This record gives sequence, C-alpha cells and structure tokens, in this order.
Amino acid sequence: MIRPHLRARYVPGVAAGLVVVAALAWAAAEWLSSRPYLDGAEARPPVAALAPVLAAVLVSVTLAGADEELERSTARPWRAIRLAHVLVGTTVSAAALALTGLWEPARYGAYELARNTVAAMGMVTVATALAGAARAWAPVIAYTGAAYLAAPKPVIAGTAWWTWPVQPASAPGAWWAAAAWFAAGLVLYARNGARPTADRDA
Amino acid sequence: MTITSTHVDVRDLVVRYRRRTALNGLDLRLGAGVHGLLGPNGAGKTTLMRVLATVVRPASGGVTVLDGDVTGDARLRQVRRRLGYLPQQFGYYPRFTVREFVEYFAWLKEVPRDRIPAAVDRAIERAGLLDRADERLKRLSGGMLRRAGIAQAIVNDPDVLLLDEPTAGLDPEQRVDFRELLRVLGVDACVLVSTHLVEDVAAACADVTLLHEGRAVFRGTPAELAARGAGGDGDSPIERGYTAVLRAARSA
Amino acid sequence: MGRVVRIDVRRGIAPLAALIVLGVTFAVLVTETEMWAGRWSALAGYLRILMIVLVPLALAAGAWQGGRERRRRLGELLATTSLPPWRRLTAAWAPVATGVVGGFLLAGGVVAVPVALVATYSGGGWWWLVVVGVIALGAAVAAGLAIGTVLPWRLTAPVLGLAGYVVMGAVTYARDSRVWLSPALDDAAEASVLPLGDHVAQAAWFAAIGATALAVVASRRRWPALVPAAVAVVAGAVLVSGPADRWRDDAAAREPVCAGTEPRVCAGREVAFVLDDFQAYAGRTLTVYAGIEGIPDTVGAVTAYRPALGDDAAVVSVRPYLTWRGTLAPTGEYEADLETDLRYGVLPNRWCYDGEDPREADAVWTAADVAVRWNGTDLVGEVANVMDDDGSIFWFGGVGADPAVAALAERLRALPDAARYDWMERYLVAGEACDPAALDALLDELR
Repeated sequence: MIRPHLRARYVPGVAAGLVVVAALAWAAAEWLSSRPYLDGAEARPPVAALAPVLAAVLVSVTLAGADEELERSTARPWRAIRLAHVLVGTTVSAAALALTGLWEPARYGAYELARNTVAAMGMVTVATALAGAARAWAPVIAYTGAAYLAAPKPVIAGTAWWTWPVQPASAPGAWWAAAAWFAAGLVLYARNGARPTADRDA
Repeated sequence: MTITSTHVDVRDLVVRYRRRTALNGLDLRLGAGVHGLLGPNGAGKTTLMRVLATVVRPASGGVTVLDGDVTGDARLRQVRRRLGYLPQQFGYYPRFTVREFVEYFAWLKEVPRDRIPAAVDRAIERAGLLDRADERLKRLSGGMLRRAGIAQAIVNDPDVLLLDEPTAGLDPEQRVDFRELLRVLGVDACVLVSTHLVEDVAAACADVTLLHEGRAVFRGTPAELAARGAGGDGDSPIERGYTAVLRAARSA
Repeated sequence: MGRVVRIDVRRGIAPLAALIVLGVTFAVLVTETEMWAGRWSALAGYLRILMIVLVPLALAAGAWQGGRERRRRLGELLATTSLPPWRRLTAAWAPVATGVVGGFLLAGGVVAVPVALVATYSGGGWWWLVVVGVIALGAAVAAGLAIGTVLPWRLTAPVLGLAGYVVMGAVTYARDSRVWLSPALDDAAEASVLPLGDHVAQAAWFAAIGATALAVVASRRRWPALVPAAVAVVAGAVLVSGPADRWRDDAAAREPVCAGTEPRVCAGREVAFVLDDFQAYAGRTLTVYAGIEGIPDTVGAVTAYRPALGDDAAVVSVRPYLTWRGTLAPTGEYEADLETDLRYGVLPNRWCYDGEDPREADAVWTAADVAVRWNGTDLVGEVANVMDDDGSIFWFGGVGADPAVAALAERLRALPDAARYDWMERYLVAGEACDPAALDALLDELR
C-alpha cells in the first residue's frame, strides 16, 4: 500500500538524489578543507549552507502528488501522513548530510549540516504550503544566497536569527531560527498540505 | 487565400514508433470541405494528424500538404503558415487570457502584424468565446478551454485545419454550434476532424475516412457508411455502419 | 514580437523573477550599506559582487522558462507553427531577462539616489561594471533557457541555480586570471578602474555565451552557434591570458581633499563627502592628545585604500561607520566605536611587530594600549578597526581594558604633567620605530 504512494511521489529517485548530494557535499568539504590557503575545517561554510538547500529542494519534489485535490478526496489520514512525511524526510536528509561531516562535527560539520537541513526543510515546507511544491525551491535558494552574501563577516551571533545558514553550531540563535522555520513548515504543511497548483507556472 | 484543388495528398504512408507500426500504407486525398476521421483507439488517427501537422516524419511514403512536401524541410514554413492544429492534448499557459493566448499563436503563425488584432477577435468570436476573451485560461472550464484551442487553430484562417477530438468536453449545445462552425470553415478550407463521436461526423462531415490498424478501410459519405450498417451494432444507422465496417476489416 | 513579449512580461515568470532579484539585491545592499554609501565605484563594484547570487537566480529563472513549453505540453503545438524557432526562443528569453535585469536595476537605482545626493566623485568609468553585469544577467537567462529547454524537468531550475552558486563560488577560489571569466567580483575595488579592454572582453564573453546557448537550441543545425562560440572562445582566451590583478588605482578618485585644522582631515576625493562629519568627530576626540609633540596633525578618513597623504599623516578607517546617507555614525558593526578607532589611529601602529617573540609582541601591544589611555579616559566599544600600512583593514577585539593595562595606564596618569607628556613623546618615537626593547623600557618606567 505504501510502495505505490512512495513511487508516485518519486521517493526512489529523490533518495538516490540525496545520496548524490551527500557524496558531493563530502567531496566539496574535503576539497575546501584541504586547500593550503584556507583554514581546514573552517573553510566549509559554503558546504554547510548549500548542501542542505539542495537536499531540501530534492525532498520538496515529494511533497505534492500529481493531483493534490484528487488525493485529498481519498480516505486517508492525510494530516498524519504529511506530518510523518516531513519528519521522515527531514531526518533522513539531515542524517545523510550529517554523516559526511562527522569527522569534524562542530566546525561547519555535522551539526551545522543537520541544523541547516532542518531549517531549509522548514522554509521549503512553508513555501510548499503557501505556493505549491513546484515553486517551493525558489525562496530557500534566494534566501540562502542572499544571507550568505549579506551576513557580516566574521559572523556574529547577534544576527543569527537571519544568518543561520552561516552560523557555527555554537550560536543558539541559529538553532532557534531553524526550529522556528521547521515548526512553521510542519504546522502549515501538515494542516494544509501543498497548495494545489493548477496554476503551477505560466 | 490560395486556391488549391488538393489540400492533402497522402500516398503509401508508413509511420513507425520504435517497433510499432502506427500507419501502414495509408493513401488519402482530401480537398476543401469537412472530412471526418473515425477509427478505434490505436487505429492511427492521431498519428495521421501529427504527420499532417508536420511534427512526425514518416518512415516512408509521400505526404503533400498544400502542394508542399512535408517530409522535407524546404517548404515547411510556407505550409505551416497556412495550417491550423488542435492537438488531442491541448496545453496552454494558465495565466494568459484567451485573447493573449490566441494573439501569441497569431504571432507564431506569422499573421501580418497589422491584421493580428482583427484576426484574434474574429477567431475568438467564431469559437464562441467573445464574452470570456479577457478571462485567464486557468479560470475556464474544460469545454471553454477546448474552444480556446479551436480559436488558436483558426486564427490564421488556415487552409488546412486539423482538429483532434475537438468536441471532447463540449456540451450538446456547444457541439451543435461547433458543427455549424465546421460547415462554415469547410467552404474554403480542408478541415480534418478526428473523433470518436460518430454523430458529429454524420452531422457535419461531407465525407468520412475510417482507419483500422493504420489503413483506411472505408472512404465515403456518412450516408454510404450508414448504408453499410447491416450486421453492425449500435443505436444509429451510422454507428451500425461503423461497427459493421470494422468487423469486416477485422475478419479480413 | 513587442506585444508578445509584453504579454509574457505580465503573465509569465518575469514578475516573480523581478521580485526575487529585487528583493535579494535590495536586502543585501541594505544590510551592507557601508560597502557602497556615497561612492559610485563602490556601489558598482558591490553590484558585481552580488552577481554571485544573481547569476544563479537568473540561470534558474531561465531554466524555468525553458522548461515551460514541455511542462505545459505545448511543445507539439508550437512545433507546428511557422515562426522560426530562434524568434520564439528570443521572445521567451526577453521577458525573463527583462524581469531579472529590471529587478536588478530597480534595486540599484533605489540605492543610487542616496549615493547621488552625497557623491563627491563620479568619474572612473564605474558604470561599465553595471553594463557588463547586466549583460552577464541576460546571458545567464539565455544559458538557463537553453538548458531548461534541453532538460525540461521540474528540478532543472533549482539544481541549475545551486550548481551556479557552486561554480561561481569555486571560481572565486581560483586565485589567478580565471576569476575574470566570472561576472562576480570577489572584492570591490573602490576608486580603482578596470581597463576598458577588460570590460569589453568580459562583455563579449558573456554576450557570446548567451548567444551560443540560444543558437544551440534554436536550430537543428550546428553552424549558427559556431560564430558566437568562436567569439566566446576568443574573448575567454583574452580574459584568462592577462594578469590576475587588473585594477588600476583611480588617481583622480584617490587624490586627497583636505579640510580644517587641528586636526587637518583629509580623504580621497571619492570619500570627501565624510569630511564634515569626520572633522567634527576628530576635532572632538583628538583633544585627548592635545599638547603632545609628535601627534600627527593630519588624519585621513579612509574606506578601502590609503589616499596619497604624507607618511606622517594618520589614517582611520571610517567604512564601518558609514550610513546609507554618507554620514558617519559613532558606532559601527561589531560594536566598534569611531572614537576608539581615532584614538588608536593617530598613535603608532599597534601591529607593527612582525617578529616571533611573544614577549616582544606583548610589549608593543601593551605600550599602545597604555598610551591610548594616557589621560585616563576609558575606551568605548569592544573592538577597533584599523588600516594597515599596505592598505588592508582589520579588526581586533579585547579593547575593553585588561587589568594589567589599566593599572599601568593609571600610573601614567598619576605622573606629573611634564613627565606624562615626556613619556608620551618618547612613546611616539619608540612606537613609530616599532622598537620592542625601547617600548618595554617605557613600560618598565611605569611598573
């Protein structure tokens, strides 16, 4: 019963994609931290910021069916399913990315990857609920790029509420921001689901 | 409008998709008028439409549309300017209004710029959508979308008009209006209508071609098809004719 | 075509693309006002730094547009129309390019207003940077459109956008002339000019890439793409064959403009709009050193480079204090304080020591930290920012007094006036010479 649903939502392809993303994240982090002119593990913020966005964008594909309204007309506890969907999707992608950063978890490694995945998933699910799954990628990509560029360098904890993509694990504000995005996404998406997108694009 | 005696000339047409043969030695000559194209699913109706619409290249055989060979590139552009096509699956940009969408196609079909506004209005009016012309396509019902599709197909006053299932989704009243439109269009142009609704053919078409497994198994007037009705199933003479001809073709 | 493009500008993704680009550009500009306030060359350069985000967004927008025909199942119907594909493609490109470029220029135009109101220098050909940036955005839309046409999947746009970030980021790690292949500047070079030839080569490179991309998907034949591809190869070869650093100092922009006395304040012509404010702060702050022989009587306000002032002039980096209106705020990023910076700035360089011995380094630092508190007034702020002799600006923290420093400063203050002035004057000489032994001896007098 669950396998057709997973297939309909492209879960096998997305899972394969996550493996690729994790491999790329590992390779990129390896390359950055081995540059002689950069300072080792500290050189990994680009990976910690971008890999979670890519993972969340991939997972966003699974957040809506081919016909949302048709699906909702069926007798399934969709709220619970959606809740579980986001939780499982986030856990799996955060774990996959965190694995690549375990060798030095606390300096733009596993902790930041996991936190940013949670936050990016939050942004993606909020966008899915408000604008539909097909467009959910745009805000998180634009936001992360802008925050990465605009964040004061060196990073300061005071701006963590919006510079979470580039904050170290030691900044509690970034964890709170991630939690807030995730909670908002979870509530909106579990309650309303993806916005049906008859007007997906024009 | 160019005077052409034979609008469509198909000789020994073979079309294959991978290993499946969709059209297998089809011969067909069509002049001005409304021609019905009947046949069961998979008979090759849509494939024939797509060949004539210049989007599918045949494996062999000759296809001339409006005196232009559409199996090569040389005259494609001239032919396409005088072509109207409504595909079975009609895609559209949901945020465009009917008028904008039809205007876009007028431009794509190279209608001279100064004639576009009048041509767009006329096409929308003939499709019966004038009161919804400034509505966005995503707000239209299925039948109205179909009419928007017809409007884009006729915006360039085509000499060959290919309509694949044009009446799907139209309500009975709209279908009556649509048949009337077909008769008007068929005065000068060659209109080829592919459909499963045999009563549309009976009411609007001057002649009928019935395809079966990639070949024409019947060519004649609707009355001639109805006359073949002995031994067929159906609720009307032409339905009985349709099933009888197919049955004969299958047993042959 | 004009009407069709206008329809698509209204109905397609152009408004959304414009909104996102406008929002991102504006948000970054607003959070980093000190990077561009009052200076055209800095604003133009910063707009080019922004390309690292905007080009990926333009790629994604183009890819989204490129996949539209197939997503909407219009491909077959469009294939039956007579218009040559390149015109249809151009008509698909133009609205997205309009949206992206429009959002970019609108955001830039909004912040250009406060710049125009205060700017004291407008030469240097900075607008070339904007023109080439616009061309790069148009080319990115074209490249995205081509890729989206060939790969019309839903994930093409976001993946292409993120891949764009990665590639653009990777290019900035290349510390050689390949960086000129990227439209994104790594660092804005204020009051500097890029030779016209480099602008032209970059413009040709981006335009040719965009034209090649469109030509490849617009025609089943290959030769139409060959001409722009050849131009791209030539322009790319020209770009990578030069040196890595091509900025030339804009002497006219850096020419010092001075005002006032006690202290006399100076700034490069392009930064001269801060002089009134700077004069007020410097005049108020530097009274703490009044009467000390050897304190510089000229203080330069600098942003990113040292204007051509004499060696005995002190310089203070005012960039962290620049507001969007070109005025100076007393406090800046990281709780820095202009008064603290001024007081350190006129004394000898606290970081002159480049030896290995930690005790010697400590003597140099401690002497500076004591001298800056010489009359007992405390410092404000957590960090200070200073400009090095080679023109780079850096921050240091821990300005808040170390108890040992505070105790020494207290002893200095307790000395009779003549001895205090004498200590300071000897400190200025030893500090200028960066002589750890002499500085340690000065500290010993206080221990």
